[in-house]
Amino acid sequence: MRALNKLDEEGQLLLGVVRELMGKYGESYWNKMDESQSFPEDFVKEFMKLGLGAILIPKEWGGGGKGVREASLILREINLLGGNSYFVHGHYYLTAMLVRCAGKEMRDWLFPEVVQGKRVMTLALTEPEAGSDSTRISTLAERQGDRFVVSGRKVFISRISHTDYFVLVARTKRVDEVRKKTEGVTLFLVDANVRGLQMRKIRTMSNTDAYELALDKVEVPEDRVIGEVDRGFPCLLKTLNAERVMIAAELLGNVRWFLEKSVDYAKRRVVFGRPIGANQGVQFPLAEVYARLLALEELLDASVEAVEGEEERRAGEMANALKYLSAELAWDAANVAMDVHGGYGYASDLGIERKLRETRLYKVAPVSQNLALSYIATAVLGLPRSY
Amino acid sequence: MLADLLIHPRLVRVEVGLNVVVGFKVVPDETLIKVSSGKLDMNVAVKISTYDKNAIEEAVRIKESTGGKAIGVTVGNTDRKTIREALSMGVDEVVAISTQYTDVLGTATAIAEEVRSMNPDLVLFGETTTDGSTSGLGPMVAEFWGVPVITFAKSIKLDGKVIRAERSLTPVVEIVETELPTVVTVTGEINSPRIPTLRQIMESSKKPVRTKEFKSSPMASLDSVEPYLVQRKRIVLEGKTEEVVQKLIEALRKEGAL
Repeated sequence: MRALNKLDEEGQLLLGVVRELMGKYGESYWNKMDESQSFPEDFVKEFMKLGLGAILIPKEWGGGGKGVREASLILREINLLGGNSYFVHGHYYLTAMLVRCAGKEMRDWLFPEVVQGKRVMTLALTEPEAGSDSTRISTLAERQGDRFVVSGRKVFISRISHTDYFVLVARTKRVDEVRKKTEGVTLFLVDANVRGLQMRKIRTMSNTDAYELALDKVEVPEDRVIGEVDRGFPCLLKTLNAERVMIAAELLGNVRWFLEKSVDYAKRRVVFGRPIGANQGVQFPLAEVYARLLALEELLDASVEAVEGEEERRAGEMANALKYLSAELAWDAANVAMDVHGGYGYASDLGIERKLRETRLYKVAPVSQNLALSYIATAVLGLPRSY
Repeated sequence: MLADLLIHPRLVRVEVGLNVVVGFKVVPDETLIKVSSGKLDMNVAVKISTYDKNAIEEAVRIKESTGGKAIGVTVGNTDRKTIREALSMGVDEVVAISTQYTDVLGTATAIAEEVRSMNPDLVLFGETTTDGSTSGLGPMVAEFWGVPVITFAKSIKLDGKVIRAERSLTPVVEIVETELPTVVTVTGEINSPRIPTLRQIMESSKKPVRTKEFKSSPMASLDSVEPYLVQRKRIVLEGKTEEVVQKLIEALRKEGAL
C-alpha cells in the first residue's frame, strides 16, 4: 500500500506505538465501551500520554511535525485492530486546523499545552437548523470590548465532556449582512468548562459521546479567535477536506478488519461438510470487497497528497471522492461480514454488529454521501447547483 | 539519621552508574508469517524479538535507577527502524553488527568480542529468540567472557555488585545470587516493556549507532525451514454452557491436554 510505504522511519515507529497500545486495548475493551456507551477514557489518556496527540504540532513547539498521512494511517491502524478511532480523530483534524490557521500568539501558548497532552477534540459547527448547509448557522458572536459574547444552539457535538478546548463556529456577521454567505463566519477556541455552556447527551446508534449544546452569552476573549474575524470559513473548509481523508482512512481500516474476520471465519466454518468459504456465494462478495479496497488504498495516497497541497479544487475533489467511496465500501463490507458470520455476526460478542453500527455513521457524517456527490457534480463537473 | 545508617549499613550502599549491555535480535514478525502452498512466507516486517524487549526494558530500568548506561548490541539483520525502536525505549546507543547467515555460536562470538571491549557490569538477553529459539546465546557469551550466567530470570535485584535473581523453572522457582559482572537471560514475566513516546522516538534519531561487520563460518548450517502444521480437530460442542464446559474438560482430558 503506497500510503503506508511512503511513511518515513518515524512514521513507521509511530504506527508501531499504536499497535502496541492497541495490544492493551483489544476488541473486548471496545465492545465493553460500546455496551455501556462509555467514553474510552483510559485509551485516550494513554494515547495522549504517548504523545500521539501531538504528532501534527510542528517540531519547533515540541510536536512531531507530521501531516495528514501519519494521522490518517494512525486512525486506520486503530480501526483495523478492532478499535474505534472516532474518539481521537477530532483531535487530529482540529490540531491540523490550528496548525494551518492559528496566529503566532495562539500557537505559542496552545501548542506546548497540546504537546503536554491537552485535548482539542471537538468542533461545534452543526446546528439544529443548519447541518449540511453550514453557512446558515445562526449562533451569533457579538463583540463587546475585548471579547465576544456568543449565544446559540449546536447539535451532534462530539466528545465535548472529554476535551479541554473546543472549536466553536459562529457568525460574527448575520448572513443577510454579507455579500457572500461564506463571509462573516469566525472560529473561536473555547475552554470546554466555560460559563454559559449547557450540554445534553444524545443517545445514538453507536458509542459517540455526542451532545446538544446551548450557549447562553458565553464570553470568549478576542485573542481566542482562530485566524481572522469574519474569515473563518476558508480555514474550516480546508480542515473539512483533511477530516474527510482521515475518516476515509479509518473506514478503510474497518474494511480490512471486516475482511480479515470474514475470510478467517469462512475458512473455518464448516457447513454441509465443507468450509462455507468454498461457496462462491460467500467467496465473491469477499473478493469484491478486497478488489475495491485495493483501489481505495491507492486513492488514499493520492488524496493525502492533494489535501496537503495548495490546490483547493483538487483537494476537495479527492477528499469527497475518497470519503464517498470509502463509506460505501465500508458499509458493504460490514454487511458482507454480517452475512458471512450468520447469527454470530448479529450477536454482540464478535464485535461485527458494533463495527457495522460504527461504520453506518459515516454515510451521514461528517458530510452526507449526497453532499459529497453534489460537490463532485457541481464544483468538479460543472453541473448546475440545486441549492 | 546516622544511627539509621549504622544499623542498616546497606542503606549507604549506592548503586552508581551500572553499565548494562543488552543483546537484542531483529527477527521476522512471527504473527505475520503465513503458510502458502506448503511454504513459509518469511518476507514480512521485522521486529525486536519478543523477550529481547523485556531484556531492553530491564536494562533501561537499571540504567535509570543507577544512573548508568544501557548499550544495545544486535547481530544479523540491522534494520534501522527496529534499532531506533530500541533507542526509543531508552537504550543510549547501539552497536549494529551486520553479518551473513550465522549460527548462535557465531552470534555469541561477535557479541562476546564487543562485551570484552566494553567490560560492562551486566549483560542481558531475552530467554530465547522467536526465530532461532536456542536459548543458547546467553550461556555462550558468558562462557566466552568468563563470567557466571543466570538463565530464565523472572526478577532480578541488584545490591551493589551483588545480583540476586528468581529463576522461573516451571514448576519451581530457584533463587540464585552471584557477583557482577554476569550474564542474565530474562523471561517475559520480568516486566512489561514500555511503549516509547513521540518525544523518545524523535530523540532517538540523535543517539549513536555504530555499525560493524562480522564474518564467520557457521558450525551449523541452515538447510531449510518448513512449516509445522497442526491439523485442527474441528470438534464443535453444542448445548448449554454449563454442560458444554464439562464436555470440554472431558474432551481435553481424553486428548491428554489436561
